[in-house]
Amino acid sequence: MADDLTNEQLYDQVRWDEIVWRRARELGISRRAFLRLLAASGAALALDPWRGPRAFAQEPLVVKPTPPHLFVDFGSNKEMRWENMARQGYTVPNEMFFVRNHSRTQRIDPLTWRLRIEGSGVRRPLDLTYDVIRAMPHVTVTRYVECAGNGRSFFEERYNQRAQGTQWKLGAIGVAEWSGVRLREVLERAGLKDTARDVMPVGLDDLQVRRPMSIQKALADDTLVVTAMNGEPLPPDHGFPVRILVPGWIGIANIKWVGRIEVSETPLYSAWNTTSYVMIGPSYQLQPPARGPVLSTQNIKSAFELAWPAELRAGRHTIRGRAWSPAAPIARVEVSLDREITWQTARLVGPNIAAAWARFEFEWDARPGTYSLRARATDAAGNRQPAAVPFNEQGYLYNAVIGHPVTVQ
Amino acid sequence: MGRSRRSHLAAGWLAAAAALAAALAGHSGLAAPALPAPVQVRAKEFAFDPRELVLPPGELTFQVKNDGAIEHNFAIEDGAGKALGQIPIIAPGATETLRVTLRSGRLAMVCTLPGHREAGMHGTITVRL
Repeated sequence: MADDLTNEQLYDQVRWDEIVWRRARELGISRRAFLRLLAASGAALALDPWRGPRAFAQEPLVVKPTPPHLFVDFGSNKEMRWENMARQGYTVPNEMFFVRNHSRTQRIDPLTWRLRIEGSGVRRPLDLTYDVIRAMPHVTVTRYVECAGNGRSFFEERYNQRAQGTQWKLGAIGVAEWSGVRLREVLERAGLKDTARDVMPVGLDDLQVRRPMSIQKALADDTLVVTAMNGEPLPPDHGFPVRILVPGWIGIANIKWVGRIEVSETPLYSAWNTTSYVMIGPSYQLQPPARGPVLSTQNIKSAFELAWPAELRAGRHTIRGRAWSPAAPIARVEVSLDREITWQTARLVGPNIAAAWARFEFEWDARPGTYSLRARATDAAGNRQPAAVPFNEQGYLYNAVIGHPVTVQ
Repeated sequence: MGRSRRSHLAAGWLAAAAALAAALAGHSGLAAPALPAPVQVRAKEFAFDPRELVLPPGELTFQVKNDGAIEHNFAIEDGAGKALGQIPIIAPGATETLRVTLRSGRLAMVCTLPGHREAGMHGTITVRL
């Protein structure tokens, strides 16, 4: 009986592989190359958890202190509490920055660590040491990193159906100054071919998290191999010794603890662009080898710098928030105090950087009562937060206008 | 067949026997139809225990405990990968319940959080009388 069950699993796997292979063939991948890709992805995940050598919970999941006044605790994931941003400048300090770990923070020795660049898309595979990377020309950019599932809990609020994954409100985002080497320069050192098509950084974490990006995105001026965050060496929780910064793309693209970058002349696949980080639901079609449309960029959102729920004393307040879009600077933020019957335009304050954010504020002479504050952002490319977002199983990209509960006493 | 696998299968048969007994009691006319005893599953990084279950068709209750340090979830999928029931998220240390009606066949139990299935969080559920 056990063998039958095993065969059934094998049968399902073979059938799935056939679907994937059919699609891969359409994309011009040779059978041999395809089998090699599958073997590589399978071998990397041969873990035996119940008897595994690694006592998973022996070390803290996250290195930095994550006190409850700064973070909502989801195990390996820590959500930033937005009310603390009210006293901050443009960026989120490292100690307040949200953490999204697929397993746990890796502790990596920079003396023995190497970054390997290899694959059919480069002529000269090479290993780079931490010192060599640190000595390469660095640039600094200010960008956000945001989990694709930021706002996921609002699917349940809206549809009375919980989506799979961490039930974030809006605190799975942060803006930082990221310093690093352009990924382009690293790839060129390895003899990047004109025929290179996909670039996949691979993490050294327990799951070897990896997800490909297009060569076009990899060559962008602000796609970086990051060594520093807000002027400090990249903290362990954020990917030390290096992470990839892929501005505007979903958080999973910004791989942490990178040990290898695969450059390929043919499309690359992993679980993170076929079974996860794809849109699955009644409004979305299967797109083999992925189980739905594959995500790349984030979308426009906004949040108030208020506790959830918030309590205010009656009287005059300056209410502040931030709005962000991957596509363009923020053009306008409208706010509503009366459940979208009327809207007023908030003031935009300070820097306003695409794929980072803009701060906004407005005055409110608050009278006692219960309120549902709404913000609706529009970017310079014309993208605006919608009234509703269709449900998807894995709870990605919820960017509809959200009611923030506020009690005034 | 290793000892752990045998014990997993035994657990499945015990659950099935309990379910059958409960179902028979329900048909005796003396008591209201009783649900089978809940099926206990443990989740951790990165596997389910047991990995194989044999259960009777009908309405079943799964109690899934997250014995791990990070979040997990639990979904029952048919051969085509369609979810027949799921617990979208289970916090570390928490136990969540899924009530689902299953027909005879071979199903998969999986954690659908990114990378968890591929790391080993999958098992089989054989549903038969």
